[in-house]
Amino acid sequence: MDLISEILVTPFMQRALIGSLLLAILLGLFGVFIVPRKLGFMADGVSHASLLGIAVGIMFGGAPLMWAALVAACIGLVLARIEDNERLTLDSVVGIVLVGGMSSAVILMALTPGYKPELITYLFGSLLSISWNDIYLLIAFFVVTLFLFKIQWRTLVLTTVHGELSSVLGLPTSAAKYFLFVGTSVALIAGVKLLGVILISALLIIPFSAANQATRSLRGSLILTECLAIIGTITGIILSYVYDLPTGPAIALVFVALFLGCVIIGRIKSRPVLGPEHNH
Amino acid sequence: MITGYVPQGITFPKQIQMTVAEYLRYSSQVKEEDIEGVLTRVDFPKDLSGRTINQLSGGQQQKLLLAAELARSPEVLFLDEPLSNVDDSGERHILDVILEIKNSGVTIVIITHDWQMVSQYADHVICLNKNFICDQAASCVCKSSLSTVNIKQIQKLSPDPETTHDGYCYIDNI
Repeated sequence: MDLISEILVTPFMQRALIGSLLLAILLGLFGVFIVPRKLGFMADGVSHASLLGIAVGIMFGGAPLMWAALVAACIGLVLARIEDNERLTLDSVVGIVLVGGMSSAVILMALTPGYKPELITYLFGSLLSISWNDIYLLIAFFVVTLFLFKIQWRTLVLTTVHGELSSVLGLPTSAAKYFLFVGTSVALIAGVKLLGVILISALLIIPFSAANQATRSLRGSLILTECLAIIGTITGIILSYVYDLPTGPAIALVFVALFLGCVIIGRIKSRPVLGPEHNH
Repeated sequence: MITGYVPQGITFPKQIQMTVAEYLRYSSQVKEEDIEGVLTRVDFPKDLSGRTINQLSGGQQQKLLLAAELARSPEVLFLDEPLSNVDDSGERHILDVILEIKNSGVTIVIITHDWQMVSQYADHVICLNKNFICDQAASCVCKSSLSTVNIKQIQKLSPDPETTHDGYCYIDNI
């Protein structure tokens, strides 16, 4: 009990908890559409390449994460554009973007004189670096994104399940695709202070992948995805506070554990049961 | 005009869990209380409505897609190779469902290579060859005349000797 009240009155933990709650909900939602479309690798590509924006921010001034969000949004746009390209596969372009972005970031850093302690913060995340301004920005982003989700929801679901049908129905498939790609990219950057560019993809990919092992409906996997996303981030943050562990890796490992747990539960649940309805 | 369309051989992504009822809700905005009626119309087994769409057989998926399209009350329903994903026993069943839909007043346009089905069921036939509608005789053939034609002859489409159009074809003995 003491621990909980201690956490709740510590300002940086308050910020971390509010921020992680919003991020978990957002990235969990994006994951519901990103994972079945096999775009999981995109998350790694976008977040790693956005290091270029962070390097530009550190070198030339300005908020590094704003630069990173700009880089991420541009990558999201490009990837959405080439998704149906005949000569390129999406994962190879993601690979190229990842390598290009990271290499230019490292070279920029090498050219900048002096020690850059904040770099580690951006690589693996740091609770202490989250400010109230970050939280206000995140709340604004959260509200706008949730609103866009609401208006695009049916199109997002149908383009994921049955792309051809959504075109026949005259749904705004293109707008939904750009929202998904750009929104995911920017949301990943919003989580960089929590998990860092290296690990942020965990929050996008793992909650849905885990939930999908144990559910049998879209509604079920949606609810479970959001629950797991929130439980995973909050548990990770508390563990990192109590045992003084690096936050990003702590959250990521909690997610890996949740995923393994769901796989095991899913296997047990789907074990064939002998009975009249399974005889055929 | 409201049109419906069931594509050829759709495969739902394996990684998404969605029940039959959820599919109907999203695709055609079918209300919860209407789901049973919509499924009955295509003779979809009622006890499968809680299953996920990935767990259905080819024939069941085809029926679900049909049900979803019908729920939007189309005047014309386009079916692209409706039997391509269905096994032999399912074929007859799907055809019965399609006939019933036709009898309820929906115009059905089937795109197919299956001459057997065409000769048995179609009221009108339009033959296409390299983007051209085949010559007059074939462009709007009544079922009665088509059924008297030897199907092998139709499959052997020979270029029309009278015309230089590359894509034109010509059907003997109609």
